[in-house]
Amino acid sequence: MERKVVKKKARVLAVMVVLVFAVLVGRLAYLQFFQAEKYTTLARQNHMRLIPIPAPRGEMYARDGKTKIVGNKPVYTVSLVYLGLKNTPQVAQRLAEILSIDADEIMQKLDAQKLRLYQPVKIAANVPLETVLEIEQHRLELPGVVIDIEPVRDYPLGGIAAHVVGYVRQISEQELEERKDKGYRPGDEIGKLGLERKYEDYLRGTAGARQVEVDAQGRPVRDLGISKPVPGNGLILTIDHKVQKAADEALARQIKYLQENTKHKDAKAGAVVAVDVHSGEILALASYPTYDPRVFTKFLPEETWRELVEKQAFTNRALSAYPPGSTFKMVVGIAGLETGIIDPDKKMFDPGYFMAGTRINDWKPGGHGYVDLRKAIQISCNTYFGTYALEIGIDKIAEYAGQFGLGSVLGIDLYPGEEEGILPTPESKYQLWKQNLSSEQRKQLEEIEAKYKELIENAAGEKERQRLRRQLRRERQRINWNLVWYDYDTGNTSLGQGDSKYTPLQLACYTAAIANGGTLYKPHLVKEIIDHRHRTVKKFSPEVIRKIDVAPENLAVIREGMKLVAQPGGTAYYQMKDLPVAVGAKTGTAEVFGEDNHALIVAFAPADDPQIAVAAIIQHGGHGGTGAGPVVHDVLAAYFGGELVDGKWVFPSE
Amino acid sequence: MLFRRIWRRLDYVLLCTVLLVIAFSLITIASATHITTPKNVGEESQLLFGILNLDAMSFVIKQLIWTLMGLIIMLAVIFFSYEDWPKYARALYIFNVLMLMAVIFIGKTALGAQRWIAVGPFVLQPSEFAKIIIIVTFANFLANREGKLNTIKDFIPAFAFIGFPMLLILMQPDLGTSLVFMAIMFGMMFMAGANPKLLGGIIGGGGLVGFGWLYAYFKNPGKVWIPLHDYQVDRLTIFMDPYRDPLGDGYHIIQSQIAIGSGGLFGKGIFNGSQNQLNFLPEQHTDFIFSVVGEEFGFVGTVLVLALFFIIVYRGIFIASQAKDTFGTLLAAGVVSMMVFHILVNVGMTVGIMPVTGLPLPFFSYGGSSMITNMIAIGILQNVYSRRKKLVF
Repeated sequence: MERKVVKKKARVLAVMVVLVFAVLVGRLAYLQFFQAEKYTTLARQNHMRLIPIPAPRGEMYARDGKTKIVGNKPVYTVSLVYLGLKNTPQVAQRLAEILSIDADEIMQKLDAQKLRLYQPVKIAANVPLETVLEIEQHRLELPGVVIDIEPVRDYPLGGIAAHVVGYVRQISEQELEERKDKGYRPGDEIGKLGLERKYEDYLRGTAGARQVEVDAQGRPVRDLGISKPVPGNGLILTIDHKVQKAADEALARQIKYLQENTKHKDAKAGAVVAVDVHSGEILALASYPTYDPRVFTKFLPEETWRELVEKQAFTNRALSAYPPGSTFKMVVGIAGLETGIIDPDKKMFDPGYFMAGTRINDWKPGGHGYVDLRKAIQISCNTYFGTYALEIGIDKIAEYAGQFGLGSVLGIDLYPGEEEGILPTPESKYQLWKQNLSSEQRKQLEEIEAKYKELIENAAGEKERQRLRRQLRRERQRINWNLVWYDYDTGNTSLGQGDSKYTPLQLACYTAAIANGGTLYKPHLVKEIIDHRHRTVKKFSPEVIRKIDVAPENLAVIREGMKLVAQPGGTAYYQMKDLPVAVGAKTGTAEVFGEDNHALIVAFAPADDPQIAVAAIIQHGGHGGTGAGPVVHDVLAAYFGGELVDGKWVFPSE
Repeated sequence: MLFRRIWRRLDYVLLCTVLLVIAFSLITIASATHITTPKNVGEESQLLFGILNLDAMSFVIKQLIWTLMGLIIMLAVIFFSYEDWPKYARALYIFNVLMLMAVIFIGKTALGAQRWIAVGPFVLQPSEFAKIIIIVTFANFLANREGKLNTIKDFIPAFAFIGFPMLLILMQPDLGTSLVFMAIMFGMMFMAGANPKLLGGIIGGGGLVGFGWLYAYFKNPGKVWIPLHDYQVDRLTIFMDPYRDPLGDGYHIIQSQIAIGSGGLFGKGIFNGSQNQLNFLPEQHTDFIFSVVGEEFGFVGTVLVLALFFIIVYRGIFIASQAKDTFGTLLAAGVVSMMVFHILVNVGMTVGIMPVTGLPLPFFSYGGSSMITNMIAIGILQNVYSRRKKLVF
């Protein structure tokens, strides 16, 4: 071959070689120069592992600051690390046998986390020691199985105050989505109800982590550092654990008693709230039906969960609104005294009914005869309060009820929050019924309203205006009878019937305000937030919602009447008579259309120097005194040092 | 005298570059086989790891021994003038075929392929040496047909000459080496003056048919027959989307790219690549050794290695153009084709632009057969170069 030809071909070959090398260098430049950061991150993710160390949740103490209501206990958890081994299904099978669960369940949990290889997947919590020992014995058959100790909620006093403390469970996907910027991870526990939820951010603590370097098999090669978990902050509650225990037990016992021994078979639910009258601190708060928070510390069968949901065990009835019945009558008394309409010593004759547009009967056929204010409270005289209510007028009554916090949210620090309740007024009634009108009627009504608004504005003189108002009232009646407020509405409201609805918490706080001379405190459950070394993080001092515009001597008269309720002849005498202190009380029996009455009672004690106020309701429990009285009795008994011995309260002799 | 003349006429640039590459390779092998001593284990275990590391150092020592053996064989190759080789061409071809058949019938199985045969205490990989034999015999074959490579009819005997041993290698199955045969064949035919248009047409057409076949295979699963096993097809195509199977077939490619990319401009330093040291990188001292270079020495390191390889290849092309006769030119062209193809496919595999075929990086991947083969190849180049002009006695 000619040398020239060879050289030419060699040049072509050289050009091709240069191209090959250029492609390789180009690709290397792309990877190592332009994409270096991305691959550096990927390499880090390969060999660095953060192993979270869960922080123990904050604990909850009773008001003495020492008695633990909610704590933590260490339990064994079993986790499985997916190592990418071929025999993982066999390991899962073997582990499932030991834990006596379904192997598919394990595989599902593993699959859900396959993308995060080498991260332990929690298979079971609260594993008994025998099972742990069995796993240790079969170590060699169970590669990747890890046993850890983790804190789990503990309830040293049993499951008391379930609706107050609430419970924790694994975070749901939705919660995770909402709180992902707060560092929650799948499998974390989170407060779902009660204080656990309300104070989640304090209780939760900060999870620690161990940073380890691992090799390609996921085996830790060395520890790179550890950040210790910071335990969550604890809560010192306002709850008195003895009173709370009495409240929990009394509710359950009384409901059982009513169902088994009386005609009130529908008595299935109830609530009781006890509050310190000088601070608004909740001493006890119980609701029934309830649940045992301990069920959430171990595996919870679906069936048990469904049962609890079906019987509404998670509803906090202390924060749900009920018609108050006669427990409302003190508001009428106070409004009457304040307006000067009621002279407390003036007696009225009760023929057994009163007229409020229509005839409203007293609960006692034939009436109570001559009664003054104190007596009227003692015997719960409908005629007395109904008659005066009409004279006082709904506006004044509603004004005082509102001042006592009835029908408004008081702002207790609990999840879920309070119902507002209903304080009936002409305006609220009008609005309520307006909503029920057909759209045609509503349009008609709006036209009339607009017309009269203009007419009244342009009217000459007060007389003309009043005439126009009466005319408007008739126009409204024509559209719907219920758009207008009537005297019997005032009568019903003053007796705590009709549309009235207040929560047991509102009733307790209202009673406390009567007892303490007219200060409405904001009810609260947490006195202090402490860190894990019991140092104060935050203190909650009593908060006054308002000083009620009422003369102390008028409240004193009301208290005297309430004291008589628990004296011979009063409606709650038999329930309260064995208590070591005098009690002020008021019973209520709220009529429920077509069903058994609700039994209510509010009380404070000692009658002459009030410390504690209590309100209780038993749904469909019949008469206030016999239906709900025993619950309040037990709460007061516990508060004043009583001990329940063989079903009888024993008080320390002085 | 003769030996001294040859000695003086060797290509020292080529030789030194090869030695530099080997030196770089030994350092990289040391790092790739270094076992990270856990720092949180007891003293006893530390000692154990020390011993294991000593064992790891033996990779370097073994490779050094292979290098020395290779150099000796290279010298032997240099001194037997290539001009005498055509005499043995027929015998070599027959020996080659017999050897490849022996692999199929008595070979050792590893990784699903029979590639090794035991010769005394050594385990050899005959397909490595087959490449050299093919270069020599095919150079002779083409030299005899100089100027007669213009039509498709002229091409067919050449294809048959290469095709028969290539088929035997494909049966092992060793797809990578059979592709090397193709590269050698086309490179040498080009240098032998084969009709460039026809040659280009065949390469382009063959490539198109191959791609079309694979495409049809993927579009109609189970309906299109292909002369490869399913797993071979998967391995061949996984580089295009390694995340299709990130823990299986795609694992090597992903981890290799992470290693190289995370090395950045200057690398993480020797013994400091987490991908390498913590064994995320598989086969890091053999097929994927270039990834270790990328991770621990960065872009600077990879470009340096490629530059050294470029010098070797460039010298090879130069030697081809300086050869005294066509046979010499073709020998050099064969060696160049083989080396370039190995570099392209191996480095291309580590950076994710070539399929994983298991071709070692010349002078760099750990392994004796490959080292000796490549040393023989260098010997051939030196042989041709040292006899570029008639020796004056």
